[in-house]
Amino acid sequence: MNNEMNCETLEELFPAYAESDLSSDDRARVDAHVAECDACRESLRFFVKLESSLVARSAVLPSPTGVAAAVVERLGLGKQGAASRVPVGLRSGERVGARRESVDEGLAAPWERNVWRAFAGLQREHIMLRALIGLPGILSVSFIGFGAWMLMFMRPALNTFSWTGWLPTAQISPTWVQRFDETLDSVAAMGDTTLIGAYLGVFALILLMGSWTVMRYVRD
Amino acid sequence: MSNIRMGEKVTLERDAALIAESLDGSEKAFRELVGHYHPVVYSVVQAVLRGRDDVEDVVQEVWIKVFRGLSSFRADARFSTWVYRIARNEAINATRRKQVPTDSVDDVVIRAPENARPDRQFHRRAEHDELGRYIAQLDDEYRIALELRYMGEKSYAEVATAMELPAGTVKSYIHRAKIELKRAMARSDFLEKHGER
Repeated sequence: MNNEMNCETLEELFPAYAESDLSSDDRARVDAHVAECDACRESLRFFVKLESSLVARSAVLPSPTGVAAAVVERLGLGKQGAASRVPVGLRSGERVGARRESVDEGLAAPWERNVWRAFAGLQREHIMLRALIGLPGILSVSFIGFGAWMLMFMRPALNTFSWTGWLPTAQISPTWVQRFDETLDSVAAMGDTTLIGAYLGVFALILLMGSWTVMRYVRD
Repeated sequence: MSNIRMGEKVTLERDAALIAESLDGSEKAFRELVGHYHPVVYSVVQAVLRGRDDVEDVVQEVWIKVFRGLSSFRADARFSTWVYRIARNEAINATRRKQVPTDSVDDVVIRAPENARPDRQFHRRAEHDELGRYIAQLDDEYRIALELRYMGEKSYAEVATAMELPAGTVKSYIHRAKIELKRAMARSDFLEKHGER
């Protein structure tokens, strides 16, 4: 029983022995044991042969030359210079994924590829950052749209409009309703230039925030 | 990057340069990239496909996918890990697209052609084929680790990096793979047929 356990325990060392990855003490233990145990000596011989057969497997690996040539042919790499290709830009409303193949095949000018890579990378990995870039865009469009509507249609009526007639005053504090009314009156009283300047200023701030986020991921 | 050794840092920088040049359309840079990582890709595809005869076709598809995804590869990540994932996924997809029954080792008899001399090259090829069939019977993770280590000629650390496993786990997988091979081949005459000549 002891001998069997010894054989079983020592056989666990045989793969490492064959790989010359044993400490000198363990190696000596194995040598001493196989000198006396025919079964283990045969087992060790197998692991040594297995190791040399496995090492020889690298010879089965074909050369990469053929694979590289076939792939280069299929991709059309090196047939035309990048500058001679028709530049492909980002078309508004087009999905990022749909454009990636043609851009990646070297059709775009370098700056377009850089922007493309930023968006491609963001699409795949940075959903939160996409939202961050998208949100200023949505906000700025909404802001401009709302502002234009306010300027064109609502300003003349703001002076006379009162929310107190609309809102259930029992639920809302009259103080807040009055403050809101006063704010609208102040906006109505602003000059056109001031109002437009204020809206454009906020829009520019949102646009800058979004652009900074995009540029952060553009690679040179 | 503070915990990456100098050798790995050099590899990362080399890969980043080759990737950038490949994206600019440099055929030479892309060929060099293929040359460096061909052993990883081929050995992983070979392992997953269990030695099917369309390994080279799938390897080509892997490299095309790699090229098309280069723009989204982050330069501070390890290229070997990324390429390994693409190779493994593409090979798995290939097995699903084309279900080819793999031969049981017991059903296959390697016969010498009648007019061939039993020369050294033939015996070596027969040995590779027979060993390959036994390796194909191993569990997936054992098989991939073993092929990366020996066919891909990667160190334990490199295999661990590619497979995103601790080096100790990779060593354990390869150790178990060899023990399994011994058990599977116990009834065969592998040693008698292919022992030292």
